[in-house]
Amino acid sequence: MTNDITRREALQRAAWLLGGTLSAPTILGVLAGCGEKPATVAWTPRTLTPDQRVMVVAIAEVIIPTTDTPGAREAHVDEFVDAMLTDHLPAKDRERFLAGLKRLDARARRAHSRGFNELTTAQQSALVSDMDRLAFAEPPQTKEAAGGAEASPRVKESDVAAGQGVGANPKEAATPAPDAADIGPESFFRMMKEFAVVGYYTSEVGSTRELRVNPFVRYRDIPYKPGTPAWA
Amino acid sequence: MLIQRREEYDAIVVGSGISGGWAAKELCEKGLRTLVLERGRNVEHQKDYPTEHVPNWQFPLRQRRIPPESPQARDYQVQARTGQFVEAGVHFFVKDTDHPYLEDKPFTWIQGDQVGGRSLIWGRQTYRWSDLDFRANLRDGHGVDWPIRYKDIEPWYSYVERHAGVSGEKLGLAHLPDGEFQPPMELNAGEKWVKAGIERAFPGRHVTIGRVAVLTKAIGDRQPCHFCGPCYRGCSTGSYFSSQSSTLPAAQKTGKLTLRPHSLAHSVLYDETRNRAVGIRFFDTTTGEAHEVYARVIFLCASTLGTTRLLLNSKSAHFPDGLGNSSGVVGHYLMDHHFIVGASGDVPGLLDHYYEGNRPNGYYIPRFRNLAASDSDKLKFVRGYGYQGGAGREGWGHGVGEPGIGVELKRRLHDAGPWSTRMTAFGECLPRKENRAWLDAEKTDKWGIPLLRIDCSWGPNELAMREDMRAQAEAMLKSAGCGNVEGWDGNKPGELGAEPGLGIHEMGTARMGRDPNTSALNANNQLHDVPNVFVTDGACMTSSGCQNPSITYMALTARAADFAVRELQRRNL
Repeated sequence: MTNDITRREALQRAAWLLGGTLSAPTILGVLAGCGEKPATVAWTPRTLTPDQRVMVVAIAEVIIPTTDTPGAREAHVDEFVDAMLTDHLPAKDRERFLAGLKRLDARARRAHSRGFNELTTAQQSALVSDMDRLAFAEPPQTKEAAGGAEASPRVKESDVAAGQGVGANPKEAATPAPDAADIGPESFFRMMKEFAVVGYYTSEVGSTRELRVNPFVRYRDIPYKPGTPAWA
Repeated sequence: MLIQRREEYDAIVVGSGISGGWAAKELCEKGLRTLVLERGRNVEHQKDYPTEHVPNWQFPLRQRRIPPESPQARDYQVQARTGQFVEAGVHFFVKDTDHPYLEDKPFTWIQGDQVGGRSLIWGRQTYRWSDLDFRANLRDGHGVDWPIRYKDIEPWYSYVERHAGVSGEKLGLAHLPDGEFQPPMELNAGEKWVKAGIERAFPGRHVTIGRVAVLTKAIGDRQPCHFCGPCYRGCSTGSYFSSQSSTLPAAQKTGKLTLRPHSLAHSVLYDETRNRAVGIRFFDTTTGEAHEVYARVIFLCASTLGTTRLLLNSKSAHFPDGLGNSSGVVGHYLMDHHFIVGASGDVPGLLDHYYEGNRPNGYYIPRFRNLAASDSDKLKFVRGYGYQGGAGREGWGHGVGEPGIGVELKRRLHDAGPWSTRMTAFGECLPRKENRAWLDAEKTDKWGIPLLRIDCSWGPNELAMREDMRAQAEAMLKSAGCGNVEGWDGNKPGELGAEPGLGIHEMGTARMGRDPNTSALNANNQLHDVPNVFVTDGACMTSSGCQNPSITYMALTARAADFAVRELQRRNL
């Protein structure tokens, strides 16, 4: 054992001694007050370009918006996405993600003659809603023709199952046909959505303000009322 | 350069994990000046648990499993095969690049590389064996008969349980004997529902809270569990059994212990004229120097395959095939529990129930197959299996795989979701000679020690058992009233998925037995060939049972240490 434990360590150990009387978020609040590490520190993306970073934040915020609790933006989902791209994903998945961002930007330009980051929030929402609908549609029936048909076959928008009324887009007819790479379980958007959802609900704000952290107390059955946040 | 100071101890223990820690404690407490050699770095209790209580959001990847294809797994290509290889726990796994081995067929060797070994990251499930297990080989003729019976080990189970601390529920089952239990942890509402349903539909089957080496009452300065959840990060309150929390402090207190990290054993030194081991040759991995140390008695507790490699590498004119290997069995009969097969299902209702606290435990379904010899006629396999599982309410994770975005999605992921349950079986593996580990003829590690080469696969009995493991899990959940019951089996023959080793219960490569021609160790874990060398880690196991084996290693170690010290006093060693 050592004499030079830091104040933070001391508090973390105190946390269990108080066990049951202080919830984990409270303890963590105390720790944050220790001046250990400010909630937000400047960081530099290692994979995302500045434009890509803005785009990721905008998409994530459409997926998990700010309501009476913070949304993906305040949860710094971009930081999580950059870490995943840099330290976790194999190169081919990283490329798939970045190519998906590029296609979405091109889609924005085709529909509105402006890049995704220059669109209004409503336009961004409509495009993201399209992407979600495509991502959960049946993948197109492509003939696995001999030889690698590199260019993804285009499918007609009408081939894709109709949306469920979420963010229905009146401009739909004007939007260009989607790329096959944006349809189904292997689509870029499934990845983006996973990053947004995981990045948000595992963040500090997602875990403590939208949801609750399961406290360090003796395990037991408790009553539950609908409307109570789940454990993070 | 070889450093040959006449450094002498009464005893040397190789390894500081679950078995080595117990050997150190017992030998020191009986007055022996004991040296513990540990190849890995030191890990000091409390001080060296850097991720303990760190909230998940402080990890860049949010405390994620790191799979082999991740850039972070570059030096951990084998370790990353287990789901336990997560961001907050990497520092307690070996770097495969530092300690490589060769696999002829997929065999996943999960290793610690630190003081405490895998006692820091073990699953803590703790089940006694019974005569159903100790008589298993005799009954069906696979392997050789154990040289001990339950009555031989029973008092030692009690002895180690009282020190280690085991919480659990007494069931009064002959084939899963009760122990010295602290009060059990609680099942949650969903698990109580599953228990009632299964026990109603299948009289004679039981669902009970896991028996775990996690305290629910203090022992000395070890505090009861505070339910933070992720034990594998280390526990500064000492609430779960590890070498750090339990055995090494006891050994330290005697003043007899010398613990030497960064000390990689090369071989056991042998004196043919006296037919005794005289010491250990090891490398100080910080200086690269070879050392020799000497003692009157030696305990090998370097993990099943570590000990096997050490024995095989201890060659002499008298033992050209490795120390204590006149029988030729060392390295053979490798076993592991086969798992990653089971079922899941939805639990209806109970929406007014939830749970609080982070319980490092789940439910257990003790073995119910082949309890009577007559059962074997109806089944396509011998031996049996148990299940480990749990129930809980769904969280936000389902949002990833469902359509919908925005306020509606956020609302949908806010509340606790429906209940579901999931169980995986752990099955017994037969001892088969062809499942083996040996020294490669050419490849060596950076210390010049030949690499271990492993050839191991599941046999017909394991594969037939797996079908039943899956079918019975499905049948129990359906009969209990679960919806959407889905069975699964992760095994893909010849590929990764549920390959041997992944159970991290590898054992059997220097087995105990009655006959020196067919076993390496006698009833006291003593090499038949060399009486002052004891092997008390998983290598000693004659059969595999289906219970998590660590408590049995603990009991056998304490028992062997007691025997060794009495033999020393009688001047028999």
